[in-house]
Amino acid sequence: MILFTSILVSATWCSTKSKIDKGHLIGDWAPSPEENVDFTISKDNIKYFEDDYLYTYKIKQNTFSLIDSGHLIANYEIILLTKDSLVWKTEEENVFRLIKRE
Amino acid sequence: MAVYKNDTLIEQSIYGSSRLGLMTASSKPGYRTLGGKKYELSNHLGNVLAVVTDNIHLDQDSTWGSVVNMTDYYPFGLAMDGRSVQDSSYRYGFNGKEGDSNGEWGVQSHYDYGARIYSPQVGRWLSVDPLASEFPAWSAYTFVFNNPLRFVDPTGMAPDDIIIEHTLTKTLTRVKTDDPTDTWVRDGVTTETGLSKAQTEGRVGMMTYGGSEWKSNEVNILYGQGADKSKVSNYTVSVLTNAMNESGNSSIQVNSTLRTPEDQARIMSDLVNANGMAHTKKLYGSHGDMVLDKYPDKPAMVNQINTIGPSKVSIHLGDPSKINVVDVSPWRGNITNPRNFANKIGIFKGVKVLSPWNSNDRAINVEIPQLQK
Repeated sequence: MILFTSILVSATWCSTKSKIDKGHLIGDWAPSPEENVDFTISKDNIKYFEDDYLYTYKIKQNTFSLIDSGHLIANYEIILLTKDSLVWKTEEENVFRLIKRE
Repeated sequence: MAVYKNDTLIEQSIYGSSRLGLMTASSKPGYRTLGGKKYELSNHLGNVLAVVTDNIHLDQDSTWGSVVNMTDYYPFGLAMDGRSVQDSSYRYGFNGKEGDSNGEWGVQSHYDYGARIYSPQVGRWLSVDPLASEFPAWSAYTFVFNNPLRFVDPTGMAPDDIIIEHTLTKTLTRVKTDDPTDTWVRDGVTTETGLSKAQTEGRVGMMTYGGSEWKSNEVNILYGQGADKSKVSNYTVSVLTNAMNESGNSSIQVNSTLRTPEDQARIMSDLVNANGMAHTKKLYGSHGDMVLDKYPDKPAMVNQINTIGPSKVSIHLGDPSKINVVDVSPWRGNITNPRNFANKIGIFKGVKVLSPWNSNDRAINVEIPQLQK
């Protein structure tokens, strides 16, 4: 019984713990190798392509929040993040796959 | 476009930007047969009011043509008795659609709109709307919202507003900018531009037509540093104003507008100067890299952009006479309901919207095709 409870608690803890490695997010992200990058993520900021302005972001569990001057603009649900690919879902349930530009 | 009988051409449509008429006479080399070409005279709804032929009569001091068909219509398309002269060989009529007076629908003309057959006798479609789920407030048989003087239905699928597509409210709106002048948008169409503030003061709040049917208000369209107001047409202002009225937003800020190839070459050169060629090439796709190969020769970069196709180099590029692209800030400019604004502007015909809620865009990116004369 104790073993079963331990497994249950561990499984619950694992499922709620953030799986996002923020280091993997840092880089230039593009929809495909042929297209312009959409944005560049650095440690604290996100910079959109051909736009001088810097936006900030927050990550809580699997949610990436885009912020401009303290105002929440939008949330993206991160479905998959590896060192070279990112799949996330917009608030209107559109899923986008992005590739890190090397 | 053409009708053949036993391998012989017996009828051919005459087209300009739309159908102008029909040619039914057979031609003989070296001769011109008059009377075989018939030209439509239509009104704003496309209703064929008269048909004249090319059989022109010339006299010493006068010239006159032959009218072979003349029709006045009731609002829902029925030809008026006593005010119609019909040449049975000309079959286009109400809304410019093809009538069928001898087919399975009986002796009275019914009109073929493509997706559906319309009966002007009852002012209803004879089958349900394939897009009925998009108009839940209306019967699936209702013709053009029961308003055939303003709406047309080119394909039988959905009504189009002949004034401006999908305009729902009747408003008189003062569009305030940081200019010394204001613009008025009446019922979805820009009517007056360049009026001084003093001229427009006091007009807000007045009712102009039909009392309760109209409302008047004012909106603010602000322009950020990256926006060039000269690249925003009156039509685009009308569409933005309509969407603001529909979505309950009285103020927006346009952060960027369409770029010319010259603007793009300058921006790309600035990026190279700031970050170096290798890093800049890393950020651009293959088409952008082809432009960067011409750096620092800006005229060559512009030529390359035009050769590749401007929109392939950047989504911000295009011809402002054909399309306007504006980025509306999702929170700057005192916009109160940005998501509703994005939803409402997206229902205008031809308008494409990307937003932070449906894409990877940071702003509400709106592409508005321009009305072509």
